[in-house]
Amino acid sequence: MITRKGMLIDVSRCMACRACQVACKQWNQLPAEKTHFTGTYQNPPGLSAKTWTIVNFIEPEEGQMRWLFRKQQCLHCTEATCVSVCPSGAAKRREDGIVYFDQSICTGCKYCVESCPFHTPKFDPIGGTVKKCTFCLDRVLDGLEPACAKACSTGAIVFGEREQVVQVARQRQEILSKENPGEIPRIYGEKELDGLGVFYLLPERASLYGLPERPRMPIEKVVFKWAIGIIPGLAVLYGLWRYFGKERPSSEKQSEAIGGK
Amino acid sequence: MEHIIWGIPVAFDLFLAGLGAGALLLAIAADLFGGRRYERITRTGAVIAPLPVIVGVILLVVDLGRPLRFWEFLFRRGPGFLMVNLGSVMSIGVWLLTIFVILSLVYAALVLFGWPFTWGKKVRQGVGMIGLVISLLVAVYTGVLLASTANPVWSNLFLPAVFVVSALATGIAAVIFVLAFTHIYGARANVDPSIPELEKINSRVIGLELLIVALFVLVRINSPSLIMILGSGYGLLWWVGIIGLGLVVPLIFGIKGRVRRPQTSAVVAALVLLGSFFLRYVILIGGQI
Repeated sequence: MITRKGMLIDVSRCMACRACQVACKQWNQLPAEKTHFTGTYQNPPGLSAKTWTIVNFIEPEEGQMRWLFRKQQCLHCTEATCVSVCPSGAAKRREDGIVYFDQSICTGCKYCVESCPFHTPKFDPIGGTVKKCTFCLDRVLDGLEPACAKACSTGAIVFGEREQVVQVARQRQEILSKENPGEIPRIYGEKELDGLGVFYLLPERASLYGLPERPRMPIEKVVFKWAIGIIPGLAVLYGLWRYFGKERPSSEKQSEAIGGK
Repeated sequence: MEHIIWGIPVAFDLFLAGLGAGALLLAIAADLFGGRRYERITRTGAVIAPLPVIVGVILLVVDLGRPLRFWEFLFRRGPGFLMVNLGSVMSIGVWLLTIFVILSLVYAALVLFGWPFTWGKKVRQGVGMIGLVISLLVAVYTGVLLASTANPVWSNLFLPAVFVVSALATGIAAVIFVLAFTHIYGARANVDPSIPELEKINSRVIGLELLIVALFVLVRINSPSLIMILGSGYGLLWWVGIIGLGLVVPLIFGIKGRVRRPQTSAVVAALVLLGSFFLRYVILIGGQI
């Protein structure tokens, strides 16, 4: 039986050493990016076709010295928007929950880039395709854990069978709520979008970490949108039927009177 | 500008697909509902329709990261032959555009050269009936495509409605423009009687469009991204260019359906066309900044 793979990112243990970022670049042979200082230690500025994971440095309060860290990457959704919108069938979801883009099929239409609720896939103008984290599919197939999980120095990244990793998250949730009574950290992604492959343990509001509080597939109300578009179209069509269907002999005379000058 | 994922070619495609769909819809409606009396409208609309959509499709293909891989949209690897993903608005759109191009070429040929066998009128009307559905769906698709993304400006319930009505107004304006233009350059001596009639029709269509555009803005009046666009340089283009010159002026111009100089008609029709392009431009590009 194929078991679902899962990864926990326990942000309470992350100290932003960025070993995961470096390991990802090394294993996937992704080149460095030319950047410049933008006033934060977060570097490069965001995900790109060459940077598949990045530690976000968040300063939630203006002027106060408090940092939140979140490792950003593809969350390998169960209800994966990229897979459902891909017009060429390049975006695929395996039975073990790994979502990957078949680079030989991708045409570079960028529809997934516009549609992902977490803004993960990025277009690579040189190769002409869209790229993102593959969950280190090549490593996982060989029984290894993804490069970022292997490199994590604090145990903030836990990889394994999803069921077991959820249990780890529950234990950590319990420990943290004992340390800080009254505050129960959220396991973000346990249920969201029918369960994310990569989920977070968040001691604070999800939106503070740059995540949507209630993530949704943008495609979900699409039938409704078709209907709302068709209705005024039909209204105009009805108007044309009324107009063209009527006898109107006067128009010929009118034109003769004014035309021909 | 690195935030712009879908750029100018896509804006042109949205405009051209809408124009072609609107022109074909008008041509077929004039033929099915009006018959011979509106033959000029049918002929002009049918001739206009295919080219802009073909150009739009070419622009879309060129805009791909790997244009030569466009056939991945049409044919499936492995089991199954055709690539159709009903969960993907773009996949549906690719097929709608493909069918539209073929159908509009067939319809134009039927209108211009007729049918060499019996049942000529029935064949044209049959193709027209399917064409009516396909052109309406092509016009809707351009809006649904944007409305079903994660973009906060585009994911507006009324975006498909805005694009559909705008597409119809654009198609009608294109027919007016061509009719007026052929008169100016001496192809016909008399002012075509269908020009004032089409201007009157379009005035009503544009009225409906203004109403839907108002809804489009009002449902998101609190959205910071929409406020940012409408308050920036795009806002000037929006209020003066698109709403003022592109919608309100042609609305008033055609309200009574008076016969005017063809030069004036051509200019007003061009205003509708330009406004319709910039409507898509501001929503598409402005929405990505």
